[in-house]
Amino acid sequence: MNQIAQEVQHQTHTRLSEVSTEDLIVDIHGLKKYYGDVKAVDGIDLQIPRGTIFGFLGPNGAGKTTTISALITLAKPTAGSGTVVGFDLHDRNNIKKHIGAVFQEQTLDEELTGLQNLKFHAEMYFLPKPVAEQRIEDLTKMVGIHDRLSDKVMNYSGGMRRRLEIARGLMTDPEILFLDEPTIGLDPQSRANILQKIKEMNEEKGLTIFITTHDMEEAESLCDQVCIIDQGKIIVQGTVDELKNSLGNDFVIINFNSPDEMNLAMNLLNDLPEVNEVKSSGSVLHIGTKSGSTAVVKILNTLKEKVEVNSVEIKKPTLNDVFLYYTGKELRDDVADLSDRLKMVGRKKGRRGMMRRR
Amino acid sequence: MYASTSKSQDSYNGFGIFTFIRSIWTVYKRQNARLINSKSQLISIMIMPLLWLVIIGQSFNNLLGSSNPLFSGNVNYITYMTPGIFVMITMFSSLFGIISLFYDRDSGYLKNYLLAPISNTAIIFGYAMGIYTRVFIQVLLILVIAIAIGANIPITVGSLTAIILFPVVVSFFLSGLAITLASRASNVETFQAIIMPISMPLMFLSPILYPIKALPDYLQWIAQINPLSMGVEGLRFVLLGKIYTDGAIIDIAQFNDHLAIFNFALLFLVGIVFLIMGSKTFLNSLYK
Repeated sequence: MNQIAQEVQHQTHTRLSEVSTEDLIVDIHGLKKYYGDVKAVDGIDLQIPRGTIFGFLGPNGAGKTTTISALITLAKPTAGSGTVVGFDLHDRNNIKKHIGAVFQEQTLDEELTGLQNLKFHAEMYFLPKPVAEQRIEDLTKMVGIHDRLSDKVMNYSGGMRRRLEIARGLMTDPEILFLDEPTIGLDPQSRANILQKIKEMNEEKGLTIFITTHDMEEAESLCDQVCIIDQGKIIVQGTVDELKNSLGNDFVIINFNSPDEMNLAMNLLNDLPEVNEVKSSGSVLHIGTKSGSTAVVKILNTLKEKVEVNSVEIKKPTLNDVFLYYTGKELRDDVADLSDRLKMVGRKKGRRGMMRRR
Repeated sequence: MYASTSKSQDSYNGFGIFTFIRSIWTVYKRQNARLINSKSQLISIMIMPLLWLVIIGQSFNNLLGSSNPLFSGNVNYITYMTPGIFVMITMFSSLFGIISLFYDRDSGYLKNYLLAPISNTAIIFGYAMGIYTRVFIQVLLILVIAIAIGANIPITVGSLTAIILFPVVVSFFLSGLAITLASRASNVETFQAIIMPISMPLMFLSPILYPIKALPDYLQWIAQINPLSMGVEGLRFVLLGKIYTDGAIIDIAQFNDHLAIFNFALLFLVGIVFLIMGSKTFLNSLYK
């Protein structure tokens, strides 16, 4: 962990230490999960205050899903201690009663109707019938699938399936809802819709949300607190603003007509006090500065009548920049992950084929 | 979020026997809903018994029935075969029926059960009961068809009880066996590859279609210890009783009421043990 990350980490610790232990819905220390030699999760601490949206970010294979599996007691931790919803991490039966989860892969029964899926879920938790019926009505109206409840799930679109799963996750009135990549593979409308519902649940009902995602914009708009994990270890965590401020720089990006002119401009700008750093590529200059909007005036004044500027752009750091900075990679599938995914798709197809033959 | 109803959630506390049975019931109800929702599954279940009795039954009857002195008298071949078909349909439905557990694992649905505060053993028993329901429908159909084509099966309270209960124990036993043997199968193809070679000898080295005497000497002892033989001969004895023993075609000449009950109890116990073992090896292998 580098110095900046440590600073942010320190801020986070200070902030969290002000939250009393009872208000932490997840309070985990030194969580490890090894599969043979593979260290899927390698000693992480998680403190999540009640009523917040916690974003768990990381590239594929970083350990996000394994962490969730351990927290919802579907994977046996190799090491680690602490509490989830106030119960010891190893008290599986009690934790199960107070959490809800939407898994990364679809876990609906396609042969059954939406209503049946919800009913059988309620029965697994022994909800009294009137309570279950009331919740089914409320929740399906909230996620907007109420009028399709009597259709078989196999006739649902991807977005509807997700919304049904979210409704199902909420059936048992959990204290915390775990969402593992809830928007993966959805079209923009469905995605926006689901994100809005998540926000509503958090704001109106005070539900704590633990969400993993690939999508930085999503995390930025949604999460109170963000944690970046890579290779089983937490790289940095804090609020979105803390993380962005930790990079400290706005970027002023200037396009010149030729590399020569760019070089000339670089020499002129290096001495400006507002400029923190200057990077060049081709005929484009990336100028790091504390505040882009004020610096750009100084920069253009300096260049005036000396170098011809083609175009100017001010870029605020995004969570994606933060991610790039701390993990050194963009959030996208690398080649190995891609081939894994293709394999998975193949397997799924094979399975469906088998079912049809049956 | 529903603060006023939060107390009601305490009703699922603990792992008492009541909770256990309710959990089984929940899993079982989904299995039935799947059956009712799937017309092709229902039709297939109805057609299978018909095919077995009409095609296999009639042709074996022609082969063995008229010319063979064993099947003259009170016990004609269709009568002899019907209890065998009960057990055979139970066998196939049970061995291969548990595959739905593997489908649910691979499709992810099983995670919902694992996430819920219900016991692993209850989950497996729910599946096993779902399988038995399919068996039960088929057994009743077989009974009706068999009588229609000339089987001489007495309909009494006792015989109906036997027709319902024997397939239960055979079904639990075989579902448990299948899940225990295949618990490490990583996909359904492997499951089939493991179960297929078991199902054939189980069926043909037993008195399902013909008396054990028809087998070569060196195979007869295997048939004697085949648990299915126990099921078939037990059921046959209970159903046909006196006329069966008089027909001089029994393989276990010393068969009597005590032996039939012992038979039944043994199958039942072994079946339960297998189911519990299966739930441990299968579901515990998922929590690692």
